[in-house]
Amino acid sequence: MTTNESTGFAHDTSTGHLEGFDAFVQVRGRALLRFAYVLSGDAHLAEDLVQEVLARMHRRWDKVTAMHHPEAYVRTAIVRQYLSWRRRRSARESILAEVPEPLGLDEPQQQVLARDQMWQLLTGLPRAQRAVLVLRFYCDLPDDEIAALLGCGESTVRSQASRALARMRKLLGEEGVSGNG
Amino acid sequence: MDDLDRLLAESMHSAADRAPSDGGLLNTVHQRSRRYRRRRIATGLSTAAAVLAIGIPFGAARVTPSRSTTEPSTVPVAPVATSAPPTVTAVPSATRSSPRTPSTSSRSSKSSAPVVRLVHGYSAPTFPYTLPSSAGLRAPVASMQDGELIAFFEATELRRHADTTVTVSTRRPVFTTPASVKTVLVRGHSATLRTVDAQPANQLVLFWRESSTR
Repeated sequence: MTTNESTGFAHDTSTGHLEGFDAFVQVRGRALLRFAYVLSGDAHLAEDLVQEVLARMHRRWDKVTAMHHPEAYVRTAIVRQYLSWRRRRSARESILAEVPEPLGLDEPQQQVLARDQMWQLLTGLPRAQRAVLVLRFYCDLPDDEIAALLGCGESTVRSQASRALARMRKLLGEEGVSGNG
Repeated sequence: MDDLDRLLAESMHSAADRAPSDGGLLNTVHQRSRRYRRRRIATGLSTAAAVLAIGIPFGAARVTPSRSTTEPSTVPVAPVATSAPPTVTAVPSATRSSPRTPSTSSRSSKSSAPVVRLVHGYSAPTFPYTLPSSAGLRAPVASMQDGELIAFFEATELRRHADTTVTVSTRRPVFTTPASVKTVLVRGHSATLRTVDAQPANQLVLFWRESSTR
C-alpha cells in the first residue's frame, strides 16, 4: 500500500516501524506541520499544535508505537487539540461575507487566484466543518474514518461537510469565483 | 468529485507548501517535553504523600527532578524481605557504586517472592515494614544508609510521569542543603515540607514522624 508523503495520511503502517521518537519527528515532522497548517490555516498555530502534541507524547512514545498506526494517532491528537483550543478561536476565525472580486486573468493566474479564494473561504469556516473538509479533501479519508477520528457519527461528518460545501458554493456563486473546471 | 471539491483539494495542497519548516522542530519538542516534565514533577508531591501509608517512625516523601539528584547515598544494595503483598518485589537499590545487573534483573520478577540477588558475602537486612504496591510505582527498594535500614520507592508515576521517591527510616532525616521549611499536616501528624530551590525543578521533601506503634 502506498504512502502519501505530502499528507502522510497513509494506510501504510511503515511509519509505525520507525524506531524512536526522534526518528519519527525527523521523518514525519514536515508532513505533520503541513497537515496542521492546512487544518488551522495559521503557521504559528500549526507549529504550536504539532509541538504540543508531540511533546505530550514524547515520554509515552513506546505506548504510541505499540499501536497499529502511530502516525494516525498523532494526527488524531492534532485534530482534537485543534478542535479543543477554543480560547484561540476568536482570534483566528472569521466569517467571510465577501470574497475578493475575481480578476480577468489568464487561466494559470485564475487558478491560483481561485485557490487563494478557496483558502480564504476555508479559513472562515467553523473549526469542525473545516476539519471535516481537510480530512476528506487533503487526507483523502473516507467518511467512516473521519467519523472515527473525530469521535462522531458518519451522519455528522456528512452533514458537516454538506453544510460547509453549501456555504462555500453560495459564497462562490455570489461572487463568481471560478476555478479551472 | 465536482469542481468545488477539486478546487478545495488543490487549494489545500497548494497551501500546504506554505507550512512552516520543520527545522528545529525536534529540539523545540524536546524542550517543551522537558518543560512539561518539570511541571509534572512540581505537582508530584501529592501523589507521593498518598502512597506513604505505612507504619514507620519517620516517613519522607521526596519529589525530585531526576535520579541523579534524588537518591540517598546508599552504600550497599539490599533486598526487601517483607510481608508485602505478592506484587511487591524485592528490588535492590540502584546505587551508582553497586552493580546494575541485580537491580535490572530483579525488576522483572514482580509476581514471585522477594528474590535476593546480592554480591557475595553480603547479608541482606530484613526490612520490618510492609511497602504497599501502588499503580504507577516501581517496586519498593530497601537498602542501608549510614547503618540504618531504609526503604524507598523510586517511582515513575504513569499519568504525570513524576519522579517520586518515598523513603522510610527509623531516624529523622538530616539535610544539608538550604531549603524553605513549612509545617503541614499529614495523616494527623505535623509534618515538615522542605522546598529546595534547584534546577531543573524544585526538590520537595515532606517528612513526619509516625507513631511507633503503627
